[in-house]
Amino acid sequence: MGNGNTTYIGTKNRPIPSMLLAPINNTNHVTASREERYAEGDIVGSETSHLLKDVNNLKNRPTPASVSVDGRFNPSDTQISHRLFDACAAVKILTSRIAMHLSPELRERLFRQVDMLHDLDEWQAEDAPVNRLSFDTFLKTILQIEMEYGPGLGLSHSGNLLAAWVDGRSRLTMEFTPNGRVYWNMVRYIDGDDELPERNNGDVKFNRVLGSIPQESLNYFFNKG
Amino acid sequence: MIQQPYDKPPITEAIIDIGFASQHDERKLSKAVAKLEKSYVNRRETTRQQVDIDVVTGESSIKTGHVPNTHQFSSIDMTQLLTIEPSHFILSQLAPYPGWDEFLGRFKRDWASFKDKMGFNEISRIGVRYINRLDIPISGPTIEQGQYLNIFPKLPPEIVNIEAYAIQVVRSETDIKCRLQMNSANMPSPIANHISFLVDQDIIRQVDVPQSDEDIFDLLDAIRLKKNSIFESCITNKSRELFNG
Repeated sequence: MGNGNTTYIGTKNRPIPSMLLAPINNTNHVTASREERYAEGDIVGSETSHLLKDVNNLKNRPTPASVSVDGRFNPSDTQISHRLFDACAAVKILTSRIAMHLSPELRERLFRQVDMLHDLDEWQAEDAPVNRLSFDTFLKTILQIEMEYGPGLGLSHSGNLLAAWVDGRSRLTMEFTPNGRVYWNMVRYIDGDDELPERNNGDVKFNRVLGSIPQESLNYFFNKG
Repeated sequence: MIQQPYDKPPITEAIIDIGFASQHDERKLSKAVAKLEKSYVNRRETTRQQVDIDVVTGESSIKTGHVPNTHQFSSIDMTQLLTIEPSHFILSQLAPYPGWDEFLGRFKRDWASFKDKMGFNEISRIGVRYINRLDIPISGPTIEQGQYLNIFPKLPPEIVNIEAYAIQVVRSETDIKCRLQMNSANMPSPIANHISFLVDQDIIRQVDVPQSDEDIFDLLDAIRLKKNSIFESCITNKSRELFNG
């Protein structure tokens, strides 16, 4: 309850307060066209229009990073080297948003692999570079996992990020989709490599990945001592 | 050497922005760009085009060649950015924030390279902007914002449990002849099961703007102390725990 000393903020259905904020550090800034027109003073009286323009002038300017993500990196760029650079740059800037929550080692390992996956010399023209939203799903997922070792990364033909944790012939693989879903597939050789493996798979929202994989397997793949 | 107060500083972007009274000389700028290029792995040049539209006939024409380009340099991990706009020199550091010493050190390095080729151009504005994002774990249907921030909207008791807010404060920091523009708001968190709060400080000097390197560096140091003091006054111990957790 607002008692004058503090304020309670709902933790569900949180809209973005768009009144004062210009894009900040690659925050997805989506404003409905009517709201934009309202903010620009197009659909109000002239006096209100002046007031709204004054308010707009108080907005903070876009930062260099937000300009990079929102305006510079162009998915329709036809030159392959530019497309690969733009894709890598966009996911690295995306990672910077949560870099304070990642270990430096994991961050470097991820970036090294992202660069290798987009090596111009190895690139097949028909492949798609990493999808930024797929990478976002990946980041949101791994931030929930306490893991000793970072995964090996790959790319699907459509640009979805793939991650794999492998131990011998046992493996846990995940595909991260742009809409926040994660397809996971697990093969575990419990009783030695000669026995038939256990197989599991799931198709879940990113925040349900941990809840959908057996705890014993989580320990096995993520916290190998 | 300045000690970093937090293990995980919540700074998502730090910016030093030098604005000039006139546009850069393009011939000198190309030399400065060549020199700055040695310090960064990537460089991109944005071509700007001027579009003239005749509102009577509706015809448009594109004029090129008179609008200076923007140059952006970046490190391989894209956390260190330098943007040269037609009348701005903008240094930016994304997370993870390496500390003031390193950030200022990069500014001094790039500024020296820039000035070496550009010569004197009157500085009209010096700004330092720090964008902080506090990521708070969600443990219930609401979060008492005052547990984490001392800046929040004061509301009557009849208005309960708001969904979003944004506050802007503008004030003069007379001791350093600067203007503070501070935004705070809730924002979508990039982390699952968290809510995030923004504290965005932009401290700008536009009067008696220093012109010599020594005076510029002194001002930047003074602004740093000011922004640290303001930020610390805006957060609570519960927030500090998050930055060291």
